[in-house]
Amino acid sequence: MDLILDELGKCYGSTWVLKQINLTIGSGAFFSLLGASGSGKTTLLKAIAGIEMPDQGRIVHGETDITSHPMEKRPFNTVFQGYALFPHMTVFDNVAFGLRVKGQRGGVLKKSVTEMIDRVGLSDRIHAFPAQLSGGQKQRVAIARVLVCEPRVILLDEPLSALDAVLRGQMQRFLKELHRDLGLTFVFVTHDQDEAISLSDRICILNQGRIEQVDTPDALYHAPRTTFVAEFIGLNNLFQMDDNGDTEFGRAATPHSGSNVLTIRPESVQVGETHARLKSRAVLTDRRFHGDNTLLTFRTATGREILVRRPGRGDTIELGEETILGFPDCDCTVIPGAGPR
Amino acid sequence: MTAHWFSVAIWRVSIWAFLLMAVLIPIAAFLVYGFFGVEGGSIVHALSLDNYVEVASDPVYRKVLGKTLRIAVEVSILCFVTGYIVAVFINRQRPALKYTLIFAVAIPLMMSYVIKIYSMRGLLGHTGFLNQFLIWIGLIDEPLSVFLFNLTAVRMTLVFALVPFSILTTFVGLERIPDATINAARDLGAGPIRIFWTIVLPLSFPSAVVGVMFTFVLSVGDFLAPELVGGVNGLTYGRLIFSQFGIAFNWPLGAALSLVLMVLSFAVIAVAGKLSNPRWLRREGP
Repeated sequence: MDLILDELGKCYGSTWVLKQINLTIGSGAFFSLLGASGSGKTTLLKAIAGIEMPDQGRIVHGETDITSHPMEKRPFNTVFQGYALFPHMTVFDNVAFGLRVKGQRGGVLKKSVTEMIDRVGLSDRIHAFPAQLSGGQKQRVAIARVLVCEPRVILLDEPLSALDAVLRGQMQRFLKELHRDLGLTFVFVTHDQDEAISLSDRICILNQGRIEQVDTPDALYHAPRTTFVAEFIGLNNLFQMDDNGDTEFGRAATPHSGSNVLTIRPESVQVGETHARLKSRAVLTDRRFHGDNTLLTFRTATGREILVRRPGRGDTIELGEETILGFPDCDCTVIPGAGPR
Repeated sequence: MTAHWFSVAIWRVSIWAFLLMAVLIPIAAFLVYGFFGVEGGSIVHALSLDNYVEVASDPVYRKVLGKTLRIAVEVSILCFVTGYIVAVFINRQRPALKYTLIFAVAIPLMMSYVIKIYSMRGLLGHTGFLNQFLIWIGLIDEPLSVFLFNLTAVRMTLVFALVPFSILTTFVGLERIPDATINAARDLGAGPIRIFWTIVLPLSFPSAVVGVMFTFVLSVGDFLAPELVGGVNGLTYGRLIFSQFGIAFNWPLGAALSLVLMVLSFAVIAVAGKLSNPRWLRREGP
């Protein structure tokens, strides 16, 4: 059953924090809502969960319009930011809460709950209280508490933001496996683009309450449709292009009408030797080593900075040395109608 | 470094000295008094257990203590329940109104206790508000005098005077419950009644129990309310102690009676302390 958001809008006072949200979240998808803080991603999740009522539009699940359903009646469950575990209940009671609400008792309840706790690997902490658990363990309880209720859709509100890098990596893999095994719909809110790109089937990028682009991670990276997306996802170089396809570095192969923006990823820029039609002389001003790759910053005579990424230690160019940079047509992406920036 | 250590030492010594002089020595002196006796209106400084034997054996003291404890328990329960209802109501308001209301609740705590008792007399008395109101709605023809000078009046006065403690402590507990915790329970399908009994009540109880402790300890030792609105039946343990010091001038017996009350109060405080720090609030393992 697909989850459809139709012209959804939400305002606080006179400010629209969500505007014209039209989304179809396919059944069984790992769907991410990605945006900076204040982009409306959490408000959107709360509207889906039923914590916030939208001021406009409809939410449809399958055939049912659930816009006016209270949150306790929606077939979704939420993993809250900061976990929101019940601090006075043990791991067992936290996980059992949803089933007890549904009227399950005795052996059946005990079996489902212990199985679920075993599944998230917390069998030895079953009688501990949340205050005695580590961040990763609390996270697992929050997920188990939701999974045991067998919801159709799981909503996750920045579930990994409080964890350190190593633990976050483990939890990402855990979530991905869980998603694959269960075949449930995951709606995942995050501000971390790497996380969104590596986990999701589809990503919706939000900016100031509006949808910028909804696409696969691959398409968002290689074919951004707005300059916001081009700059938000990964590192990028953006050049202005006029009606004739002229840029400050020469004329591009594919002219488009109107004023457009040409983008090229740092890893696609050629250094030193190039046959590209778009090229420029530039001086190396900064070199940052990231282990598996090196990020080089060049500056052209006009003062424009160009980012270049090279595998390993990068090219043997000294800081302050001048070289030629090439921008091959086939690696450039045109964002039509982006206008002068 | 040395100067710093020196000033810390001076602070510590002065704080302990103050506690010793202002609290511990008076209490110790008081305890010692309980072992003295009285003859012909003057204190006999000879140690004996006579006072404690009298307190334990005389059924009057036991009866009055039992009655007083019952009143204190009833008052505490009433304060606890009304405190919860009011605190839940206040906590539901929007922030500006919420803190105004809480401030209004705290105002009576800054007023003199005697004024509150007299205002209660005004409320319950022969020409008081309650009688006027009942006559106005036509329920009675003549003002009744049953509202004042009995134990119910004492209970009402104590609840009226002490309920702010319950409201404030319960409010603190309620306010500490994050919205996300309530939302998580709703998200899992729980309705408002289940949420109150399984989430709100247990999470705010450690805080609310401190209010219960206040109301119990303050009402069990009170002598002003029974004195002023209690009438002939209003002989409570507090009044008993007061009369030993103020009327009978039997300080040693008064000290012995006080010790019993003090031990009881400490016991209640200890139990409340345990309840206000449940296992789930602590970090160490199970």
